[in-house]
Amino acid sequence: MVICQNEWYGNGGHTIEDTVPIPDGQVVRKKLHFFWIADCSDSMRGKKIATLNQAIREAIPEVQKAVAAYPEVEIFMRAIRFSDDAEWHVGPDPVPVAEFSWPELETSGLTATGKALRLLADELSIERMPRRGLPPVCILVSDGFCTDPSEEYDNAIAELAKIPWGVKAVRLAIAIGDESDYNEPELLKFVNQDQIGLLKAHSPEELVSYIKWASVSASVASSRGRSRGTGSIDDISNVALESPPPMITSNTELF
Amino acid sequence: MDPPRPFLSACDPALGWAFGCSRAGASHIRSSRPCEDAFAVWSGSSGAIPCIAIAIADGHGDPRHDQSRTGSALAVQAAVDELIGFHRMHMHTIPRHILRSEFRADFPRRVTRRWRDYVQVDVGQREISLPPAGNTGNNGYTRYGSTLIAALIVGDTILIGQIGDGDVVLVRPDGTVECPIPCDTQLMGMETQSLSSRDAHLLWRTATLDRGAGGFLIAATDGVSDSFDGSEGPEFLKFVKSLVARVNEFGIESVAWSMKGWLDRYSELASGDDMTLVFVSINPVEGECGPKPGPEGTAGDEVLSTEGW
Repeated sequence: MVICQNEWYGNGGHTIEDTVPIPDGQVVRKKLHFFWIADCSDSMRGKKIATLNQAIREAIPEVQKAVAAYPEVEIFMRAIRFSDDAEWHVGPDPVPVAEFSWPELETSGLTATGKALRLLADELSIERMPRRGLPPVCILVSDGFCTDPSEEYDNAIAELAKIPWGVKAVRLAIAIGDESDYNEPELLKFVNQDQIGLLKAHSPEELVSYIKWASVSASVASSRGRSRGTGSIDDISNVALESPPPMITSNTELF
Repeated sequence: MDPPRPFLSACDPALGWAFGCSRAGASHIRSSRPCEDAFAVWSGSSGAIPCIAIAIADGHGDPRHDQSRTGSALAVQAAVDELIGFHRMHMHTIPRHILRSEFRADFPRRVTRRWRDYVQVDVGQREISLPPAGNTGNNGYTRYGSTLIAALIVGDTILIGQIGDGDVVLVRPDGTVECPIPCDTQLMGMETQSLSSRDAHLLWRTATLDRGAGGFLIAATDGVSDSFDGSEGPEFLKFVKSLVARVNEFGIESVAWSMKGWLDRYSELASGDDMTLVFVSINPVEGECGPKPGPEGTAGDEVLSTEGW
């Protein structure tokens, strides 16, 4: 076989590339969908909800700053709040992170975590989320036991485990307060980052740190996503996160 | 060192001509990673029967596929070698309809095997270690993982094979757009089928088309369609049709020269991924109306143009 390389240097070597208008078609950046799932039940009253509101507001610019290293990525944020019921706090339409602002969460009622996860699962369905794209980021923050029937919570978890984006999403959970106040096994069912586990915020300082770390790390890890072949048993996992920073709890500042 | 070539091309006066362009993605440049795409365009003949063969490949970017740049280059080499071999073996011995069924039945298995043979040679030459095949689904070729799209234009037939993501679109002279290989609805997120996948020969999708009135065949890695709205999305198809319109208005040579800048722009503004596009202008079968023949350039001898390694 004759192997050679062949090329045209048209117009006697003159550059003519600028004379042709660029083809039509609207270009778009990769979309990263980010979901906050925030507990605003009555037990969150006081320092917990105040810290949560403040921490998420402080986390937004840090997420923007961190993901600026990936200009091909555009983050869209939404938030679900839950107490007696679950509803959109920001959404259902996704908001570009540059335009995202966190409305003050007020507390009341019970802890409908199951309903919140069902709302999330509906939004992660293939009908509403394009197949190709970056893994969504979902961060659940709660301080208590789910007050929905246990089967409702388990059904929501099962739904997340069934839908492709539920599996591929980066799902983290932050538990607030004393470990006797929340149901650790229940919250762990939501988490799909085994190496991270449940993030336990005993103090306002830890809650702020975990909210910032989780939102920034998950966003960066998702943004870094690169193509890979199917076929490995570990394909069910999604992007890998590094370990969270060590926490030093101040005994005087516990929730 | 020679300056980078803006594009590479191949031509057969009876069939048409092809050019390709491959660019490192903006995100690759920022992180000092090389372009992991590759393409090849080839024209030649066997027993006075001409053909054009093209191939594009997209090496996976994930760290577990750390030899995928070589993997994609070997993939386009394997594809063109296999297409040429297929052409030589079958053109004079079997009817056309059997040619098509033979392609569907044999090409995926043969090109996958050839790619693996080439990988083994590279492993030996560069002393690369391949992890042993195990029960994790790893088949030992994971480090070289790559997608591959290959097409052969011969006689009155267009044969296309694809494993993994990427796009193949045919625009007929009347503007009709055909997507002969629909996107794989089983794939999620950044996953793709791969030459390195277990049972890769079963993951191929093939299509055989009538050359008929000819048209324009466009094959692109997913970095291109992801810069719009994904495979078969309206904005990507708008881009494809507009690209054909630019060729009709300004000529293939001008478009080929412009492609480098366009792909760089799309990568910077959108997906950030490596970008590779091969464009084939296919003449109509004699007696049918179709696009005008391309400019004079490279007819005659066998020509293999490859990029990516």
